[in-house]
Amino acid sequence: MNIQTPDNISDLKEVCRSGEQIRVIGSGSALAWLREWTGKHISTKKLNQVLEFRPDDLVIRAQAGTTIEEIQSVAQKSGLTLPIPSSEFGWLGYAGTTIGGMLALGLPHYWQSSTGSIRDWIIAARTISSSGEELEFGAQVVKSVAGFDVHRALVGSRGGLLILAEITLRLFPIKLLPAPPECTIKEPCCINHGLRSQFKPEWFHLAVDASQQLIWTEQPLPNYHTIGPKGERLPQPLPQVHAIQSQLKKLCDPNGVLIEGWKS
Amino acid sequence: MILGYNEFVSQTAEQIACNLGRIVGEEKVLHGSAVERVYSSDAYTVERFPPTVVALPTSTEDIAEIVRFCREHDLPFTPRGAGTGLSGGAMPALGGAVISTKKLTAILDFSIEDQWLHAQSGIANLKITKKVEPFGYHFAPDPSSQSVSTLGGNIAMNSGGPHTLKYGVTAQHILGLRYVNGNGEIITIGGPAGQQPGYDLLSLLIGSEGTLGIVTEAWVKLTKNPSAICTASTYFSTIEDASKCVGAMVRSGVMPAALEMMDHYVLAAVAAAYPIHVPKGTAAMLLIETDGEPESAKSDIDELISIAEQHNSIETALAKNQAERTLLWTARKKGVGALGRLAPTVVTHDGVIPPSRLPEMLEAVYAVVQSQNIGVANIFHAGDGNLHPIFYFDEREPGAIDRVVKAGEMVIEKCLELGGSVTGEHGIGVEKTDLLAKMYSANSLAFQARLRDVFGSPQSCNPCKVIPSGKGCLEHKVRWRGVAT
Repeated sequence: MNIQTPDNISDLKEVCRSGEQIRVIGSGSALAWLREWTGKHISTKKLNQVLEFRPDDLVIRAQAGTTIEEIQSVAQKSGLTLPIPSSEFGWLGYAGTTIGGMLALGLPHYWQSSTGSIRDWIIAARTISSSGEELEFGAQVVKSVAGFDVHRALVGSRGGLLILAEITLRLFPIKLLPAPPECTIKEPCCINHGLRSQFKPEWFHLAVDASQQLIWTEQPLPNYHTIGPKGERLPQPLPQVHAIQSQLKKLCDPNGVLIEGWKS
Repeated sequence: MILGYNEFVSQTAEQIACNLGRIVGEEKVLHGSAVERVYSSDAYTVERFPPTVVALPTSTEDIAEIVRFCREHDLPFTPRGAGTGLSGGAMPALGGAVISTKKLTAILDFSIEDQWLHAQSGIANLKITKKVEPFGYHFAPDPSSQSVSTLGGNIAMNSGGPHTLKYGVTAQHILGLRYVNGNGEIITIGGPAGQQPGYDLLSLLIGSEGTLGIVTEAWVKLTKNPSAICTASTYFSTIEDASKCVGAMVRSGVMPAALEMMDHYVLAAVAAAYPIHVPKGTAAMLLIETDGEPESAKSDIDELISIAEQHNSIETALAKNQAERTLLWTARKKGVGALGRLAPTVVTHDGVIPPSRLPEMLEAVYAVVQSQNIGVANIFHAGDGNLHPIFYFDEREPGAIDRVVKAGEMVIEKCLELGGSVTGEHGIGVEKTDLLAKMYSANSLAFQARLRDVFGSPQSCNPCKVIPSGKGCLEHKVRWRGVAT
């Protein structure tokens, strides 16, 4: 596989300016989730510095290629953490190895119903557009409504909109973490949102906890679906919504340089 | 051409009202001098401009019709909830139509088992909680205006409130939206089970201050009530001790459900309005609350009280029952209103700093108001560093409004100097459009401005807000200020 690993953000911008189609990855640990792509991959794994840690303000800022383990290790020294089960719980914990990868995947985690989705813990981002332009969103404080929450919208965008270069996260006290999961899912799996009352364990090989508004399964599903109120799988986004999503892609990446895609 | 200038539109207001009334029903359209005055601003009264007409739709379809009418007649349109916004987001900046959601108050459906509720956007925030309270649930965002501010307004501004510290802002509690875009089309994103696959559009719509469309319905998450709540008030003889105590509490590893601060100016006004006890020599009070299982809520509040004692608190009182807790929260949530006793006009500001910089920030706030010869009282969400300096003054005094605006800018400049944000929950509106450029690069702002195109929202949809563009806004800005009489 053709993987280029920029040493710094300037190099990352240069790669973008070449105009060549790229897929941005963190460590590459989630490639099995993405549809096959034989072109150039850009790994952020050398952009791996914790840039700022302010425990008194519950804030940490790091480059996108920083491993989640490193962020947790720094935060835990001050009794803080990202409230996501660790990788020892497999896919019940965080998906991906780097913080940028985890956010780009935007998958749910086991504690989501009590500690919130990872989208709720990103407070700012420094990004690079597919043309090499630098764009920043959010603020370096735990609460801000200045401007549009583009940084939140990038969660789950699978690298298809803007490239996460630096990320600022809000942290959570360790001692308030919920009980850890009682089992693990080691293999990649599909994860769906669902509704508690429509939860049907027989749909899937392994249903971990019906009280969570989440379903995990080791049985690959055809698409990343939402389960509707009557238990049916909803189709892809409504055409009107899909049209807006397409416009968003055009705004962020007008020339279609950034390759993403869910494995189907 | 946009019919924005009032002197031009005033000749045709009756005709516009009549034509719009034919489409949605004449009882749903208002115009005239009283309407112009009432709807010329929201709770940010420094800037005002009269609307041409005010529409009071009762359904999503009504709103779609009204927007299509406005587009057809080149009329700017401004969505409005209860008008409690504090940055001018609901001010009809170019005149035109104000589209009020105040009659969209129905709860359409809810499921306790699945923990969601579907309501129209004009419902008051607190009514959602009242609906599900008997089942042991609530709607977590709780801005101080929650008894009147609307769900749609909360979504537009991504409102917070005292319990944001633990439970998050509005965005964390929205599963789906139905809205009318700038072309009058009805679009639904998400629903009871959350968003559909694909890029996250909810994060862009929430907090967009009505510039990307008009939210008419929402599916919200319901939050289970905690088993136990402990609320305490603790008093300090210096602002410095209180603000240092906040930092210590934040880093203690306890996550308070709320951590609010009120200075002695606020306390004096509140004590005159409500029967609360304020010890002699108090410079500031912290209102602290913990929740969860009974044992943990109690041990957490004990730990926070112990931290207060280490920071020289002069007195601490733990609410003994619901009545005492309610009194404390009433005093907090009605604190801004109580300030009406100090001066004829109050303007509430909003900025954020890292909580660790609170002592330095408060010192700066008091110095700023002294330099501008106005009064200030501080009542704010200390735990997340979200300041609300409230300037009190007499707007009839020559130059007073200019001094208030200047003081506001100086306070926000200080927030930015300390690494904060120009707004924590009141939004940009028209008040802070210039300040936004101090937070973001020109590239970032240009990118954000183009989100209107992504959502198909014309400049006439809540014009001149957040990231204004177009000549009309610059020309009009001078007209907004001082219209107040």
